[in-house]
Amino acid sequence: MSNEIQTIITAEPDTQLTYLKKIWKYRSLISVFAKRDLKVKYAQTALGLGWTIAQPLTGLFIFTFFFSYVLHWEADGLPYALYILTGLLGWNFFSYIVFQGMGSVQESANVIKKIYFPKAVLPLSKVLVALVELSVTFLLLIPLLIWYEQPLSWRIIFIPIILLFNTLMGLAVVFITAALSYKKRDLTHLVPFLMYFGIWVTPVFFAKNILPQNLQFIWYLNPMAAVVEGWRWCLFSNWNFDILFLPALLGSLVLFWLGFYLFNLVENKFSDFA
Amino acid sequence: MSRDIAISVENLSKCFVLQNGFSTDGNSNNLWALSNISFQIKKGESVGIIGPNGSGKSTLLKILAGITKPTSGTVKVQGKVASILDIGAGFHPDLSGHENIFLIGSIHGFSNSEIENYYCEIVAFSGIEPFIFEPVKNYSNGMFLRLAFSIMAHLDFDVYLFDEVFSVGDAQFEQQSKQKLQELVNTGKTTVFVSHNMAELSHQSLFVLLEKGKVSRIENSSKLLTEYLERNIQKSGETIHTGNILLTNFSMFPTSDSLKVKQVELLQENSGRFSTNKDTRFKILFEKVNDSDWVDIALVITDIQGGVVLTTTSLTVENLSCNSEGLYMYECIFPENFFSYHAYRISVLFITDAQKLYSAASESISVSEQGVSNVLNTAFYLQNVITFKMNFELSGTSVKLENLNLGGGLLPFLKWELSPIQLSQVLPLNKKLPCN
Repeated sequence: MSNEIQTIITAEPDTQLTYLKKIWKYRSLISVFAKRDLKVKYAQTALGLGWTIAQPLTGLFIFTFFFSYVLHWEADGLPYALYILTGLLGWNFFSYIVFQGMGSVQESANVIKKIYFPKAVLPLSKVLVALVELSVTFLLLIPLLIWYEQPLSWRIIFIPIILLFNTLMGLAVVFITAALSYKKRDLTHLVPFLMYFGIWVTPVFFAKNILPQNLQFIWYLNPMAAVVEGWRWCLFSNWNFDILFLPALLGSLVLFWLGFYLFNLVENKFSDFA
Repeated sequence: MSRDIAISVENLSKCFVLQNGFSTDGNSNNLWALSNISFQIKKGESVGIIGPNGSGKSTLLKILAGITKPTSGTVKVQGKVASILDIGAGFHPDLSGHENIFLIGSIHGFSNSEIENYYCEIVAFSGIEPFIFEPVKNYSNGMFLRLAFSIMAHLDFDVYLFDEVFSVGDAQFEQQSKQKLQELVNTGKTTVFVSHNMAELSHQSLFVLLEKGKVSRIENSSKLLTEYLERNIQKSGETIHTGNILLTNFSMFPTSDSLKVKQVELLQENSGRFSTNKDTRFKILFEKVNDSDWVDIALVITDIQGGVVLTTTSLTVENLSCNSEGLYMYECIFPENFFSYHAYRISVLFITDAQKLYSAASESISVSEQGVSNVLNTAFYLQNVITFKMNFELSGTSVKLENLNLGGGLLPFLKWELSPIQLSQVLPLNKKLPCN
């Protein structure tokens, strides 16, 4: 026998550590699913990955036109187009993970009813796909930086950290939603509304100084505000570090752990209800 | 758990909560798909799980595969499990065969390098090498099945769980896959089958009968299968006769203008119940209404799964056709020690105008023009007119042959010889050629 692993199946859910180990064992499946999604998404299209750039590009044009030229909104000392693009960078990454991740378990209902694998692999694979889309948005950022002669900050070395928190926030929402909606799916209908609402309580379109200085902490009750501001802090040297980033990012960590905890509890029930 | 046990199931229960509907335990919406079952499967064993629909077979397999969790109890599985509950599960139609091999392999927990090791074998066995980079959606059904089966059969699992997957392919696929499965069994892999096709299961080494979520029997003998089948037949209203029987009512069979069947009889002399060590006589009494045609008879004996065990016909005996009108009785005598300890069904076939058969044999042209089936007119067909079961008896000894896992439709006593051989008689064969 090649491998003498023993599997013990009981009614108890896995411990979180065991579950993490299982996910690690199936890590290649994460990239295989991501590759599948990318291939299938752009199969039988002429432009292929080129379509990925279309969405942020149109967003950039429309929002810049309306908010900057029509409404004359200001962004603390940054060209408005750059402000918006860096805001959308973090927000779109987050929202891609949320929307794709939320549907990922149901999308694979056929498979999870027939073959066991740790279900967390499904939203994790969507993170990889979201990363591909994110890097395409970065390609859009470069010509804008040159056009506005905006120098990059040395703090871009912190991008991986902010990316991590961005991912954790997305996964937190996915895990919590999935864990609470495997039986009754109402929550999956509610989340899109929350997301539409969320983009307006996150400094994506307007600068956070529309609130008076002593009330600015309100922004950071939303961890995504810290993530989006964190992106700008990493990229632009004239952007200030706010000490409030830290509790907000800590909040996203707690949310993620809560999500993972809940997801693990119900992970084996997905196949019965999917 | 001892090292030679592959699967051990202890006090396993699974309860489904019905979202709306009736319940089985009275006071709640609970449906106990499995209640408190325990059994063990040894390494290298091939197991068939049978039972009526809703007895919990698929649920059990899903728990063994880790797909759903039990409500209580423990399952221990030694080694890597292949869950083949649906042969095409996990495939993506837009991806190529090549990509799907890696997709399926990864879903079953193999790393890319492990899959690469088996890649060539998988493609070779599937026989679709020229199309391996085509999207799977363009494959024919057969190509798809062969690829899917090939992937599962070549990846290195220790335990294989199959749920009704072989009823889908064509004859060639079935043949290929059975051969490959036998290879797996021979190399010491453990296999578990859920199937309704009893013929498919008859080669297993352990049988588990599930009923209403409980293991009602677990045995090494395929007798379990036949008994299960026989019981199902009786439940459906058909009688299995175990002793002499005389039938006079044929209203449920098609009628004919030229023939009227009056009586059908199956009997053994001075016998309470049919036993294998006595002659069995089949008699059929019929009236020939007109004298235009010649009539001959054939009997077809099938097992209860419908497989033909034997055919016999009066045509093999000369001058046994009936011509003019009147009452006739055909009698066929099955010898003692001929049937096995199974249930059988008899069908009767009347053959008219068999004269043509003789002429066809001499004039080969007419055969090729009309086809053999046109030469014979089967006028009247009493399908499954009697279902009967033999009881194994062997005069003089008390050998319980029915406890042996012997297959086959018949158990004829053939001539056997045993002769003592002197070593010197054999030895010359092994002798070396004398050297100078």
